[in-house]
Amino acid sequence: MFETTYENGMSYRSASEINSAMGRVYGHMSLAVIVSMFVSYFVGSSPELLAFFFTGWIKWLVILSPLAAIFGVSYVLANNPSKSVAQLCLHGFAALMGLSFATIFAIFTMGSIVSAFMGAAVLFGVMSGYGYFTKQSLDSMGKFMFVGLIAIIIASIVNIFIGSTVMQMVISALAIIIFLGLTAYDTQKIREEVSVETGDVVEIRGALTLYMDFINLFINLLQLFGDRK
Amino acid sequence: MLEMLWALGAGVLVIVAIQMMINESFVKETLHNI
Repeated sequence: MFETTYENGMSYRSASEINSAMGRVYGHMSLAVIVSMFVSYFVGSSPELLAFFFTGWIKWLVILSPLAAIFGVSYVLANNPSKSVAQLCLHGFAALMGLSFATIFAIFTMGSIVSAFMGAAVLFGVMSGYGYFTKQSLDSMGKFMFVGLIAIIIASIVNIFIGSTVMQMVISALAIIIFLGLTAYDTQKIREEVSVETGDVVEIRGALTLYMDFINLFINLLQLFGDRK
Repeated sequence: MLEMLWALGAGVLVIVAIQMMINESFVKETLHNI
């Protein structure tokens, strides 16, 4: 209705259209988080299922499958699939991620899982709101966080062999800061992307990005502050 | 860039899952006792 078409042929959306597009992004993301938590709880609360998925070679398949799946999902989403295929990719990936994290229900108390989830939701909401409304470009921050993320991965791989709990705590704390920054940066990027006429796949790609930020916030908060059983 | 972020995000999560698997004695005990 208030659409403006510029000389380069791109149609820019009105503010209300951008808001509803962002609403759909958050909707897809929330559903993906629910899928992950449901799968995680379903498997994690059953000793038999935990034993099935987390013993022998199957545990490596379960733990490493999200990493393999993300490359497949990236490939499919880059090739302009239909909305239903894109949704299947997002929620299928969320289910795999939930499965690989089912052990949290065996390690942490239910109270601390709920607290970490609520904490992640509040922090995510604040940072995503900042990214959504700020007029300042977060580009430079995003690049800084990107480098930080690579540093975190290298430090984490080193720590698998060292096994230092202090280092693990420092890594988790840094990961929380990095994913808070990325939440704001990603939200601003997604808002820019949906401000021009785009298809459903762009919204689902945005949802996957925010899903990653949220789950990483949640898991690292749990690692840092969660009470072990 | 976006695909790299996804891969790095999934990488962090997978490493945390591996750490949980290796470090948390409770998981080992739970699985051992079943």
